[in-house]
Amino acid sequence: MRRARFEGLAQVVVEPLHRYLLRRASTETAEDVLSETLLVLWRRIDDVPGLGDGSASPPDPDDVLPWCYGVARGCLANARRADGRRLRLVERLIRTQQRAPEEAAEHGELHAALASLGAADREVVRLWAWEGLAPRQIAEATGSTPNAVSIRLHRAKARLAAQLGRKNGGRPGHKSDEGRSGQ
Amino acid sequence: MNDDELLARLKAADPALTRSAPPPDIDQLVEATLNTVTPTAPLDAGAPSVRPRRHLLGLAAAVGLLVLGGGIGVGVMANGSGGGGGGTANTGGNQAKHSGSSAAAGALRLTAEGGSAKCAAPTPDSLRGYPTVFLGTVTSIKGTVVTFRVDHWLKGGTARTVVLDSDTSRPEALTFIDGDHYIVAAKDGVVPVCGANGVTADDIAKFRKAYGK
Repeated sequence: MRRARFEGLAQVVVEPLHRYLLRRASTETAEDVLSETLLVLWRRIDDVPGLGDGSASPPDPDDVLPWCYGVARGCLANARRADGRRLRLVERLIRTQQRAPEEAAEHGELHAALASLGAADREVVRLWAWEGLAPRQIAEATGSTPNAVSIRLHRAKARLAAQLGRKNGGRPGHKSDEGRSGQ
Repeated sequence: MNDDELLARLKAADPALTRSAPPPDIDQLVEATLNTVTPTAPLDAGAPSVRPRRHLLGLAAAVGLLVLGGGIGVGVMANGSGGGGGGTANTGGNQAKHSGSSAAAGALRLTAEGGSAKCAAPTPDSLRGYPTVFLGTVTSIKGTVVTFRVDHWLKGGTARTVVLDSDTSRPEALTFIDGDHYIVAAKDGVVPVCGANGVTADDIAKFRKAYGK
């Protein structure tokens, strides 16, 4: 039954999806996009890989989550486009205000280093570190291949580490070629 | 810095942990997803007050469908108390995603797509060819979804609410303002180029007279 399958899926994915969105958008946007993501999941419940027929126990998060992250990613991109420049500016202002106290102080350097990566590199790194996905799962979430993800992740991690190392003033010249590793 | 150190630093900076957002209410979200019918805003009596301002805007290359009329389900919809996920009328595209927030029972749903254009002020004659014409007030703007309260139907409709979904790659061109008044014309569910325009009180009187409403 569709409804039971959806409820089972929601129990497993809602909280990880919420965290996924919180990491990439304002609290308000995260909530809006979460609702939209669930509507898409409901509509496409038959397409969710690894969900089975729902008669069994709840689905394994490792099976269903990467695909669901992909849906949330698309919904977030849609929302960003839809909001337009005006709202993006507003959101940026809000986000700056929200994050200023905690993140700028404690993790500003790391976020700056993340921001220096290309969008695709950054997303791969975040999916690896924060969502805890393996390259195969990252590939599923981003519509790439495991091989390409592995290479991208390897390079992005090296660049990030180099960036952080440089900022710390440690080991000048170490891994000096990393800045050139392209996307 | 090796992989483990990098991972530890990244994890420590995880915004999902450092930000104090309340956890989502799963049951409520599920319920909201399955049950997307919301009550219709009451229809205001009397002529709306209008600021002496005119917004001309165009909806170019409109492609869309007249999706909903007279209480037929749209998008993701199910009766929470009864059928248990029976109704899943799927409209395709992105419309279903928005139905939860603003679709009202009996609402007319229109879709617009496209950019902007310089539009001449609409006249009763210029809108003559459209089977669907109404004067409405914007009651909410959420993303690309603009909800109108219909103040006066001039032609071809009875719904009290119209939801215009601009599923477009250039939504910033659709500059509706909450609380402002518009005249909207559509054909086959399509809001065409220059099909939605801001109107003043004078315009409203003029159109109502011209259509005898």
